[in-house]
Amino acid sequence: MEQFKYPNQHPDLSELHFDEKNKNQVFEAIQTGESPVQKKKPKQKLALTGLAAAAIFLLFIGSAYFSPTMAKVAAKIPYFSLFIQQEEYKYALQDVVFEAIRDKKYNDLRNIEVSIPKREITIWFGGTKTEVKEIEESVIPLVNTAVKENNFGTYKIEVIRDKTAYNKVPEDSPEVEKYIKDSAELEKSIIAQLEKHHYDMPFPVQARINDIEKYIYVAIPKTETRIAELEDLLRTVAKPYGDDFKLDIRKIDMAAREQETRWEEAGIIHILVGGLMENEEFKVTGFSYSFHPLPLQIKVKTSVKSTHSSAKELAEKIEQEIETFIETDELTKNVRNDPYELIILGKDKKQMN
Amino acid sequence: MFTEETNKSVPPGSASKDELLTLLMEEYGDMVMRLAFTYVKQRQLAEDISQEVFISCYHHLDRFENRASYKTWIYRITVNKCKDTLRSWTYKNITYKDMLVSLLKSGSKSTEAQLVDREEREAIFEQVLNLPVKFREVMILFYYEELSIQEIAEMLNLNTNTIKTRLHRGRQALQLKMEGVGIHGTV
Repeated sequence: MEQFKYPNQHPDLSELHFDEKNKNQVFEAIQTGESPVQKKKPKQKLALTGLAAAAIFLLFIGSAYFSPTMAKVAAKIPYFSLFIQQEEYKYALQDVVFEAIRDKKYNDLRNIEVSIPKREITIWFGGTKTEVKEIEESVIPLVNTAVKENNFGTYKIEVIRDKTAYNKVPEDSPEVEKYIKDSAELEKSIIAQLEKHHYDMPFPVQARINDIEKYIYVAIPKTETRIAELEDLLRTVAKPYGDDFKLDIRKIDMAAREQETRWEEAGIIHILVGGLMENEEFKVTGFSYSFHPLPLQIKVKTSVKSTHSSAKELAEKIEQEIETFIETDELTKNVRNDPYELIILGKDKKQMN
Repeated sequence: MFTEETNKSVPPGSASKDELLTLLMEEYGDMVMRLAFTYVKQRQLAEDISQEVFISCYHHLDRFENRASYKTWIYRITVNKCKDTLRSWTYKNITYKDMLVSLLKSGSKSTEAQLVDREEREAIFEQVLNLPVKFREVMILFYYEELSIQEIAEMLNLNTNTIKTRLHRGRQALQLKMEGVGIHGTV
């Protein structure tokens, strides 16, 4: 097992020594009750340098900015893993912006949007022209300072007036209120009865009572045989609310549902959609998926004609990135063995892979 | 393999808490930092974690009660701290920074060329570091830190069969990686 020894010349390992400075910091921390790490980096949570932001910027802006070496190295990092990290970075920046303006007097904040590749922050406010102008004057320096303080570097900050006038939502009439209340109560009673009779509910039960319809949705495993009993049960439970309910009973393949749950829990579909749409190189214009029936089918639509010379290469690239993500990312470890079918379509709706 | 010698230099009961901590830091400081590095793969962070480990040791020395060896106890604290760090939001973001910085720095040579330059042991170690944490930690603890399967199982709260399976899978994954970079060997 000679090969499994720490290498002597390793650039990091050879530098790792718990020295006097470390020991002193430990004792200091014990005496003061203050963690040396927290003390040293009060804002480590957001301590990303401008360099990092610049690098992300470079990585995402497209091939024109890459040196060949950069492109080669960058190509080794799985795209989706990088995308996930960019998303986290983006949310962190969004948090900083939101925190900076939250407690101030601006009460009609409509939206915040952040673009890392473009290095832009856009904030929408409602109000009159003069009001928004005033907000703009104070909010830009405020956000600018917060962003810089948290080491995100410099961003172009824009304030836009959202002209949409939102009417005050009218209060529900007593009649509508009763519908809502009845629907919720019925739903609760159905769930209680189904649980009592040991029915599995792969999807949430729905009950709707209003002036258009009376509707009940129940999903059951496809192996469930007590269908007639279930219908009787539902009609009995719904009786206090009327006789004319439409019953929508769906039979679910539990293996497919379990797979769906696994994918949902890890947010895989969300990442795939976001990642494919984010990068213009993929030329993706649409995305759809279906877990039922098995196997999971993922359809990706692109803006390239299936007959175009670049179609095959593009399809391969998309396929490879998705495969790498599913096979290697930490997030996908629970779905790695799930079969899925990937269909990449051209502008002409013909399959490219 | 792990032996009893690890406790010789720090006899409990004969030193004050501060003295004992100093002894522990001298004896295990480098080891803790090295182990932390194999989890978080960043020098600065490994250093921060090591300090936290010893602060934690200090606060829990009274409860140590000599039940296990200091070495395995400290290992366990280190492993837990590292895992907390890996799970944390901060780590994910800071790593990103480091990854990008190192990516920019290492642009001059291709990975393949660098690997040829290095000795095999270093290349293997690099690939071990690239394994997913669950395989990486058992590989490091078993092969590099030379702990027994039983000790690792206790430290990670897993059963011994799980450790064996992970070692097996880790070796397999490593073999694939090594073939991928053009180094064939028995791992």
